[in-house]
Amino acid sequence: MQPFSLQNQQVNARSEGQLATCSLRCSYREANRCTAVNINMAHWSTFEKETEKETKKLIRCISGVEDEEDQNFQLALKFAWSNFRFHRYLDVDSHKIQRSISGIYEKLMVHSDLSKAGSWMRLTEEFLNSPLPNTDGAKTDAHYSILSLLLFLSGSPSNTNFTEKPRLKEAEPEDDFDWAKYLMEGEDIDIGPYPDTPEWSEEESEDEDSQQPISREDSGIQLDRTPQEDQDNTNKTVPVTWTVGEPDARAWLEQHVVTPYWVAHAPRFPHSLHLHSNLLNVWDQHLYNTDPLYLPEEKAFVTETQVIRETLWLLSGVKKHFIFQHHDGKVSVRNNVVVTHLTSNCLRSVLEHIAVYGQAVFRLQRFIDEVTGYNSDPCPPGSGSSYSSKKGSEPPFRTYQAFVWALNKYFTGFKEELTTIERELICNDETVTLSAVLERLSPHLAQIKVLHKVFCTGVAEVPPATPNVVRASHLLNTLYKAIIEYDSVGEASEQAVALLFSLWTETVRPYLEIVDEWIVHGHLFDPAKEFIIQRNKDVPVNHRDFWYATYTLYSVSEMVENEEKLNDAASGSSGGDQGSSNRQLTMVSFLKPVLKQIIMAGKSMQLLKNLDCKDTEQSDRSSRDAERKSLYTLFLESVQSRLCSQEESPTDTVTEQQATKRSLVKMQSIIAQHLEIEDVHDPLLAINFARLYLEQSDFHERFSGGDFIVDRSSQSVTCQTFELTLRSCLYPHIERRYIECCGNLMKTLKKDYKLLEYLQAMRNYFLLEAGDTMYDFYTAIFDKVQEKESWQQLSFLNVQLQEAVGQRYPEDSSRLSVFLETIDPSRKKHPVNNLEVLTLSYKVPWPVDIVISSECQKIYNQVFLLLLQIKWAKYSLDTLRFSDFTDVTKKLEGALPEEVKVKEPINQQIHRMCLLRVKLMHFVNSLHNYIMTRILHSTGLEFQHQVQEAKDLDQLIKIHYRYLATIHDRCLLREKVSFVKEAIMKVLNLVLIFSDRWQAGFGAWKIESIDKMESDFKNCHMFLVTILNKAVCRGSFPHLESLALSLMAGFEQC
Amino acid sequence: MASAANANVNAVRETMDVLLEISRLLNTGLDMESLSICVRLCEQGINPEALSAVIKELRKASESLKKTVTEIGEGGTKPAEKKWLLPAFYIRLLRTAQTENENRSLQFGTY
Repeated sequence: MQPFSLQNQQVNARSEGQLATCSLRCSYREANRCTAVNINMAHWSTFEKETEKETKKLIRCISGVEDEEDQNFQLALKFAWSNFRFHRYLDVDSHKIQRSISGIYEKLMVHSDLSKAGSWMRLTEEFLNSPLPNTDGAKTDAHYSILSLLLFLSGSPSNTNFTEKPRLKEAEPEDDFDWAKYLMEGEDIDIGPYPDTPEWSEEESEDEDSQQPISREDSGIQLDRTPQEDQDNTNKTVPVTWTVGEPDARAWLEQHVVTPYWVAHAPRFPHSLHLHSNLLNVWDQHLYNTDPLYLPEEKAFVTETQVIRETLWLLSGVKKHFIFQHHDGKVSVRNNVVVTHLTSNCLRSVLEHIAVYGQAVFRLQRFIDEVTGYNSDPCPPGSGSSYSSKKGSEPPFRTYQAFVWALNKYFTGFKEELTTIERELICNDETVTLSAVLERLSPHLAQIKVLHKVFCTGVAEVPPATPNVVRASHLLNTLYKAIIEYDSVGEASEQAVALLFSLWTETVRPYLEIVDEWIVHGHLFDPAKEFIIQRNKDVPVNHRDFWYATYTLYSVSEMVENEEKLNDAASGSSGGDQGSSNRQLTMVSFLKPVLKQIIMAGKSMQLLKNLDCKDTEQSDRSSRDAERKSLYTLFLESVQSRLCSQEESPTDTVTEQQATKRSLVKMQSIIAQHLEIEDVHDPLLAINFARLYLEQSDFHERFSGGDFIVDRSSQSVTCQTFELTLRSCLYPHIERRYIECCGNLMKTLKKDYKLLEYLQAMRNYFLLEAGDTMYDFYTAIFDKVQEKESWQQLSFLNVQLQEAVGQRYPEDSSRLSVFLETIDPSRKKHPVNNLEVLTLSYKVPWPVDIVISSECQKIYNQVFLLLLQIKWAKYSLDTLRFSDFTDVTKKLEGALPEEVKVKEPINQQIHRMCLLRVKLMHFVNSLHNYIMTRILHSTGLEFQHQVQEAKDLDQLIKIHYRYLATIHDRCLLREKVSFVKEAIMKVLNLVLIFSDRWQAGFGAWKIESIDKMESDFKNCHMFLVTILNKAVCRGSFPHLESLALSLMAGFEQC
Repeated sequence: MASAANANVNAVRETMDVLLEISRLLNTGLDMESLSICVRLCEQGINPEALSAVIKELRKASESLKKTVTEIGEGGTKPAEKKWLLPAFYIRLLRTAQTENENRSLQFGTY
């Protein structure tokens, strides 16, 4: 931290004191300061532009940031500029420099480093007297400033300490090595006066002298030399490397053994002296002559053949090269490699282009190696369970393995091609150039580019901790999307589509096998947890929650990469549609259209397997299973058959060998005819179809041999209409399987597990469809109530129920029971609410309880209670007898005459009671009729019809729920219409009170109470009539019409 | 004429070689390329002390950049945007900006 803060203070002080110290220098620029730092001045002089160019070079050279757009580069540039322009350093003082030079000399002398001290003095002296590139004269300011720069960079020259010394000493031996280079450079220019070697170099060790002649001789590839001389040169170098003495053998070796070009300072190979093959030298010469600061680098010369072979090796996955270098996963081109007939820039740009592909190949190869675990021959994802059991526990899951297998297959073909080229190269029969090779490989390279792109997005960019399910579905999705993407481009990317399609069909194999296993055997076998649906382990099959909570659907969101868990309860049918807008691209897209079917079929199958199928089908099925084709096989076969069969029709008219151009026209007309039959007039579509068929002819040729291998089938498929292919080749199989499974399940449930009977039983008891049985049950209760006895005893109720049910439905009597629930006392105030303690319960056995769940029973129970309340009111009204009154009237007749006066109002009262009774009866009967016939019966009929047509269990459950919701709604039990129910309950309550009074006998009546009852009833009645009429007028509840009419009729008669 | 020009070129080349030797002897760490850039800049009148300050700072910056890159390593497959994590660098720039009373917003790399 210390140096930083110090520096900052300095900077701060500097920038603050800037104006004071450098006022002269800065006063002019002060006005333009902001623009100057921005480096944005429009009116720059050429001088400043020059300086900027140099500054950029400097930054590039020192920091290594190449890209000028880079933020770092811009930062550095700004920094450099602000330092160059606004500093407070003094100008260079030549005397000071001289002093420090002699100071260093002294120091070196003190350290008795005499030779170094001597060379130091000599060098500085020589430098000061030498010309600079753009400055004339000696010992100018420029000289001194350069020296001072070096002194600054060397540390702090004013107080050179002792620790600095060893480094300075080490620097000396380094000099020796570079003299050779220096001399070589001198060699390259043969024209002009040869400069004298500096005196101090003669003092250096003798190694350089010995190297000197060699390098001098060696470097001579020049235009003005004769071939003889060149021959001499090579002869001279030969003994150094080869010890073969005989000239014949040497000649043979020269022809047949590759020069070790990878060794540093390798001997040069002989080559033509024609101008064309010496472009590099010519160019170098030009650069050298024009730019005094041009500095020839050391170069490694190779031949084009060597470049080609290295290219081929690179593409085939070899990791050690000379020309290409691997740096932790990146492939780069060695800097100093040149060929004689190209400039180094040109060669470099070509090689960098190759290196990109090399890197792609390398990454793919590494992925393949990782997944296969460096197996020399990765085994194919073999069919059936042997494969999955073997590989199941290994970390790379099956989808990746399949993908790798597909990649590997592609690379096998690619490497064959490479080998062929290399063999041609070795044979040397024809000219092979780098550009020709690249041209030949270009379709392959394009494919590798596509593969690498898919690999990057599908595999490499997935963060390491991602669960397998996300990885697998992401990979499949990427492939799928890539196919769709390239597919939409059309003809331009047929190759890519064909390649990707074959990759996809291979990669999708594990998924389809999982699906197959699941929907055929009911067993979701997915040890690596890569499938988007996973079994929740803790739910056993024979649990009532099985249907809802067994499976988890992972829907992978690509943005956040987290998985949402969707419960299957929703996913069965509605979940797939709900919120599909935001999840559109997140699931495994290709399965999306049939996902519901897969889930349903899978679950149905598992359930079916666990039911004891009473049919003998079981054994039958297992025997068939051996011959059964897996979903994947079916898929591949139908892809083939689809393409072949379509191809058949054109082959009738045109033989396969004939030119495709002609057949295209013909087919187009044929297809146009076909389309016209279906009322489609689309020439573009027709052309596209025709093209599709044509491409498939290649496919047909390949497989018409008869012994086609299924695995290879998809390699040459070009599918223009990828989604169409899926729709016609994959989805029908799943669909068929789904219908079969679910049909079986429904059949078994209906037939063996008496689902329909249970549904009927629910209606019988809860909805009182078994009228006689339930009548026995409830009248017993009502009688008890009327006799003012306690009826809320569990034993009494259960006995009554058992008796009633046992007579007619003995099998149900054990399942039915009654419970009493305590209800909150606030609701107990009305007699009619007394019944609400009753709970009827029916024990539904597994698996029918999947359909008739306890939630359903709750709704049933609510309806049951309402019915019971209506029945109670009806019963209590029905059981009132006029004989109760006859006693009273008789008594009155025989009474005293003065009592006759009272008789009149009594008769009137009786009459009013009777009238009220009839009105109440009309009301209760209307309500009863409405609910029992208009609602329960007709809805029940609809329901039965729908149940017959239900295709799968989920649909059945939904139908059942909808049925329950409907009756619940229509019985006015909904919260929203609770005020209507409230009014009805009031009336029912009134009925009970009324019958209570009636039975209490004449004496208990009071005229006021009758008045009250009448007015209450009238109010409720009127309210209901208004409300219902409104509802009916609105037309939203057609079923209410009958109730409204009958109530209205009763009201008008009042 | 051509030979005269060549003579000059050679003389300059010689100078540069001498200079390179001096630079080696002083252990400045400059190679031929950067040395020739420096020579050109000095000739254009850039103050050598300022130039040396810039060079040192740039070296430090690229040093720390390399370090961060290797720290990030190959874990992330996507090559992350390389940022210079050099506070002094930014602070210095910021100071310059402040003393100049500018409202120019400097772009600092997001950490």
